[in-house]
Amino acid sequence: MNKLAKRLEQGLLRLYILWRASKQQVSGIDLLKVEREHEHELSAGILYPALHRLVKDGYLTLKKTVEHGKVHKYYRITKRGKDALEKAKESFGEPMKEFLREWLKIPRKEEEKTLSLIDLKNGESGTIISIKAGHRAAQRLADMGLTPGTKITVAKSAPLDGPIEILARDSKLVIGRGLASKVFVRVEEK
Amino acid sequence: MKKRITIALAGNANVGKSVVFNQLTGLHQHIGNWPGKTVEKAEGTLFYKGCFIDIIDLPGIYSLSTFSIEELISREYIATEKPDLVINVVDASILERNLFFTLQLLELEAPIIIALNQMDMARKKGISIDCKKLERLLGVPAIPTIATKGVGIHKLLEVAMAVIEGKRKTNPFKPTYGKEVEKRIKKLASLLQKMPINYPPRWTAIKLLEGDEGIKEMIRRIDASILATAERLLKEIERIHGHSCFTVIASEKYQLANAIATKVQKLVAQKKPLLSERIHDITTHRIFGYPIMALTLLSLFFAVFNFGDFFSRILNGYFTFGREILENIIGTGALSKIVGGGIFEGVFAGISIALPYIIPFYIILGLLEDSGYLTRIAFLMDNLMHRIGLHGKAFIPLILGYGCNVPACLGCRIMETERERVIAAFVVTLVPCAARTVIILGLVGAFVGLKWALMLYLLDLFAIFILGRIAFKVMPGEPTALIMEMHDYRIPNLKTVAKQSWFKVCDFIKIAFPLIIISSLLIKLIEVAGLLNPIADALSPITTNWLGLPSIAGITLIFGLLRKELILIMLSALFGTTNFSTILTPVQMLVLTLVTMLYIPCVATIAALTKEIGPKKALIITIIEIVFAIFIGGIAFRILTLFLH
Repeated sequence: MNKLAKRLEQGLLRLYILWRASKQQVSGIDLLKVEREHEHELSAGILYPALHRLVKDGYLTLKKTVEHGKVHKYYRITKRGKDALEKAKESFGEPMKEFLREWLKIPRKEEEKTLSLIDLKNGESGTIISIKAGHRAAQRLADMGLTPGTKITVAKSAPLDGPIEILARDSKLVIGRGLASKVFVRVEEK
Repeated sequence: MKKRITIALAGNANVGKSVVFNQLTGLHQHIGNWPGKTVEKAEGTLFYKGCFIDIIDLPGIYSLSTFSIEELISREYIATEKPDLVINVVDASILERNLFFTLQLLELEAPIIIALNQMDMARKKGISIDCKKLERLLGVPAIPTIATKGVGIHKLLEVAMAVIEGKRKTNPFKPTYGKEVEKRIKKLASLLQKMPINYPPRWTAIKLLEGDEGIKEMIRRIDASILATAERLLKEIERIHGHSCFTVIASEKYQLANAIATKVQKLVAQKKPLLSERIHDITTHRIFGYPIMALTLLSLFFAVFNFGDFFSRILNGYFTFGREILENIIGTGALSKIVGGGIFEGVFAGISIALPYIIPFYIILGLLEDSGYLTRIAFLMDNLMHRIGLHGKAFIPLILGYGCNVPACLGCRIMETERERVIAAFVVTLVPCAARTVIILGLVGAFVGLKWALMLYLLDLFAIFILGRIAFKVMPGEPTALIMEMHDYRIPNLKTVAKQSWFKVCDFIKIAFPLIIISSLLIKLIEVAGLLNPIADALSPITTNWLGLPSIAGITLIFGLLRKELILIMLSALFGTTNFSTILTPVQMLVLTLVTMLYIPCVATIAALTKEIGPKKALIITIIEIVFAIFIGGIAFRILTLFLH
């Protein structure tokens, strides 16, 4: 394995273990087995130190049970581990999504459509994908913090094709309907 | 140590800059406009520790691009006038968006300190901010303040002085971007190093990559080849990121702001729905929002006009009294007429008519703005206003115009851009104010028929609609879509609003009174010199031939420039009767009223226009309306004669 992949693996391994543990308690052998199924070279020499590190940091707890006279060790995720996993998803996972999708050429699922702001219902959230407005309007939107990658929530729209009130970066913005129709978002899947 | 220093206040709109300004300057302030622009300029002075400090309140802006005049004014001021310090007033409850602007200031290499204002609002929202950490991250002092209560203002001033005097060192943070962008910024900046420009090279380089028109123009004049390089580098960034360069830079700046904000603030308490949120929901409700707005505006409308009426009457009494005294002193000869009639009447018109309405108007408008309700009204009415070529905020000046055009024109300052302000001011002058309503109802309504009076109102709406749309298309500058920040409702700061209203009124008086007095004097002079008839005859091609009115109408229309009511008053005075049907035919009544309705309102309105959009534009609007009114009047004359004989 080349150096880049090795580096990545070290970082991602802990994340992967936590993710597995969040679904159900795992043993070291469970993890090795599944990896081998996927023909991935994961050696015990790498896995166990990672597991111990996670226990030491408080993200996993180690449980020993005795079954049929044999000692089984299981790793369970702690609350702290759950929080860490969630936080990593927010600050790391979500932004990586687009990149990974493009890099690995993962096809988009059906539910993920790109809608314009005016198509969103009150209360719906989305992430801005693109803005198809004129240079000046796009600049102004960017100045107000509406750039690709920004999370927004539609609060309401004024009646009779009036402007739209959205929540972005912790403050309320009002956008004229015409302009709003040129902002395209990807709706969050529930 | 310097004896006189300058401090500028900069920040987003509605962060409490003007409250800080008022706290610092007390009554030593002056509010006018930036020379040649429609943007308000507030300046003040304070004396602190043996030093005169000039404080200037820059307009509330979100960025330093060329989107609006406010932004241009601010960045030019900071780069050219080089104030000793810029106090960046930041709304602690909306840290991220505010920090975006802070980063812009840091990029412009302005000497800044931060006033972390509205700490009480932040606390209410459950946000706690580590000010020391913010100071460390930004490298400049950050003083928590609650400007409305005066908390932290003294400390702010102390720290400001310490920084200016060099007693406290700062190490301002320099925002940086991703490697690919940084590489190109540095390349451009090195090319700009030796250029004779007021702005820092790095900032200029970033602006060129953003495609800033103003900077591009400036560089084009010095060395056009740099523009080509900038264009090339810009496209490279766009190719790498797949978005416009401007978006990339803004995006990364916001990410930086977000990173700092996240490190520095903590959501401590659970977010309960605040009262302000609930009020917000009701006032923007699809169904309830409108009646609430109608009720609020109506009551405010009545408050302004009843207050105005009340004081108008009182002042009227004083002036009549004063006039008598004057006549006793000067007599009733020609001089008395000129002085008494001219100056006195002029001052009287200004004070008793316009002022009693303007003072409460400014206060109420200030309260609407400060509380945040104004943005909600704009939200509800934007769509309708679009049909006239205006934006939602124009609704208020428009409605006010039905009472008196003067405060309505002054109210156009709430519009977001200069272009909108001009169009709004223009449209507002077409709205029939109370004085014109008096004529519509008193002349046409009484002597021709109520139906016709109503028709005139409808025609006026029609004119507003059409002329509004024409103005929209014809005005230079690009129409802008509505993008507005709606800040949380808050209790308006009455002290600040009252103070600012007072100074705005003073500024208006400075412009209005000379105008009113001069025009009154002129007209009186004409009267006393016996030039009334010669002028009436000179105008007769227009008045008699084109408009079909008796030649004396020309004079009344001129007098109507002073006060619209004078038209009827003059007619009855000249003919000695109030039974206008003996003087004018129904057609003539309609034509006269029509022209009165459409041609420029009184001098006080022209003064208001001058104050808000400048003398040149005010003059253009005046001429356009006079021509339009006369034109329509003549056409109406011919059409009506066919129907009414």
